[in-house]
Amino acid sequence: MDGAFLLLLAALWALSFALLRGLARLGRAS
Amino acid sequence: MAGSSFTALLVVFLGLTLLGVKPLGHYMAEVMEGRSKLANAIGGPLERLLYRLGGIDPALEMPWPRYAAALLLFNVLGAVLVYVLERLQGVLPLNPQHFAGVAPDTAFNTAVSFVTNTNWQSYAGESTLGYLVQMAALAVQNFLSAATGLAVAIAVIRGFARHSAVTIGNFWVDLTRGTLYVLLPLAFVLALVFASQGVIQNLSPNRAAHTLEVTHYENPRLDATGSAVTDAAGHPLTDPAETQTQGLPMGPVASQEAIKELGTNGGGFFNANSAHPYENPSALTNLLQLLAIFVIPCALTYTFGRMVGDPRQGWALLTAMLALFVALAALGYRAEMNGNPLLAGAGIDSAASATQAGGNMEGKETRFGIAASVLYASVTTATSCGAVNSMHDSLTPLGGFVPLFLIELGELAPGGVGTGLYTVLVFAILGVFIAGLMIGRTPEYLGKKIEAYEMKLTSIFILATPVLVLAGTALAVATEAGRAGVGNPGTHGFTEILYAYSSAANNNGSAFGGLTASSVFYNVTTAIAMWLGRFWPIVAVLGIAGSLAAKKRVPVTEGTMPTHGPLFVALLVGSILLIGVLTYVPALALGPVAEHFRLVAGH
Repeated sequence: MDGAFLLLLAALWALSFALLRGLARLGRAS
Repeated sequence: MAGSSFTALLVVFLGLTLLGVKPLGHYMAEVMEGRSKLANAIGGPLERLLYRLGGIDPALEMPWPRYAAALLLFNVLGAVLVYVLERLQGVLPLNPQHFAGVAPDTAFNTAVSFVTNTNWQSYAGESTLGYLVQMAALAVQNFLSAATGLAVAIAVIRGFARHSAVTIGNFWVDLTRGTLYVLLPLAFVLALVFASQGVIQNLSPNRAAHTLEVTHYENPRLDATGSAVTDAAGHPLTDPAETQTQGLPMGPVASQEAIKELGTNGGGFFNANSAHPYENPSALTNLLQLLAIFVIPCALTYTFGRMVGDPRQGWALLTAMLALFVALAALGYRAEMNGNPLLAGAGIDSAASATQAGGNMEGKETRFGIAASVLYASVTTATSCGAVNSMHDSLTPLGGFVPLFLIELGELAPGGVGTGLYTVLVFAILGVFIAGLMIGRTPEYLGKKIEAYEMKLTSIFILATPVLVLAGTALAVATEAGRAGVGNPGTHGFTEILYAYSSAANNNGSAFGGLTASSVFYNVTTAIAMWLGRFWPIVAVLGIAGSLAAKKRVPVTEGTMPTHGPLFVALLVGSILLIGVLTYVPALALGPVAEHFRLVAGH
């Protein structure tokens, strides 16, 4: 159970980081 | 008479807040840029020691993606630490009530909640958490989550203040300075004041008090396995019981209470939050709490004006924020004083008089009354605080609409520590963009051209939270697991769910109540809303800051729209209301609006 919640936390962090990467790439392109 | 007490309280409260705006705003601009000689003399050695321990070069500034990456890393590690401390509390010290480790879903929800400055609580502090977790996990995050918001606001200000720059500051330096020089000193002084006024501060186990009167109550009958025994109709069976002992919860409350308000966190040491006399014992502590919630977000507008070189820009933002706040708070007060028309119809006198408060006193503390309760409910939701001194579920439908709508506007009137300023700046960008569209000119704000990239990020910022609120609410009402938590089916139950996701995704943390939100479904879905509602907008606004910092400054011409006058304030307020109303009217119509009309119709 602990593993599942820590994985979910990692997934939320990854979703935020993915937005960061996407917006940084968008910024370089524009 | 009753109306004048609210007006007087509002005038005193706003007057005292405004007195603090300039000095605190000036101070924050100085310390966050490392220019305060006094702060450097007192805290400099500790600040430099922290950088040395962390291997940080304070002179090394970051481009926005690095700033955001550092922020995300710091916060995810903070959440892991809070989670581990909660799960292990059964074997950790400073746990005089010997509470077991917190259940995994509650620990996860709470860790995300405190790291994101939401402080939504699906647990009761006095029956779940030991003092170590309260202090080392929750109170620490109260400081750090507020300092994170402050850091983002300062980075965004630099985006406007700088030109042709590739960096927006150093996240570790901003975080350290915000904590050391702004939050810690204010919280230290306020905690001492609270303690002097009766807010408790100790590490004692709970105390048992012998009551003068015998309390009679019904004790649930349990079978051999500890499950409730029910009759044929499924109703629980009870046995009469009596007691003359009352348990009094103890703990280090004052130290947590101060940062709970100053950091616009809002998570109560006790389940009753600031309605509990050990957290908020008197009218004086109540006023101090209101001021502590408002002063940093309001002062940050002056910090902004000073850092961009024109304090009038900050005053214009503050005027727009407070105009929204006053209008909605006054609406809430009027609704609560009107009370419940069904009671009047039943012949119950609910008019204000010398012997009673009148109006709707349900869910409110008699020592605060309607004026101070409505003001608290408005202040806590106009910011991202979420502390409560009355139960919002007991507000009249229109009275409940006010805190809900203040949250849904994005908590920018004046908003949380840092979050309020950067949210209103995003709406300022939207406002000048709309004005630019209307008159056919390239929009500018503070000498920076607002172009396609900034507008894309502005759209992401503004849309992220409503998507989480409305999708979360839709999921909850469409699933059995979501509906299982509803205690008041119908329009009121819908409002309870809408409020829960509005509060979570906007990082407010107050609960409407009435909703059993301690289930795995609500613990997981509100945690997702809290995390994404916090960090998606932060990433987007840091992107805007990075882009603006890199731009050249456009000279002021005849065609430049002034952004420090009443026209801009009206444009800003209009943009905020336009987005808020267009986004949430359908959902609000199903909740508090429908409930209001049902009440008027006599249902």
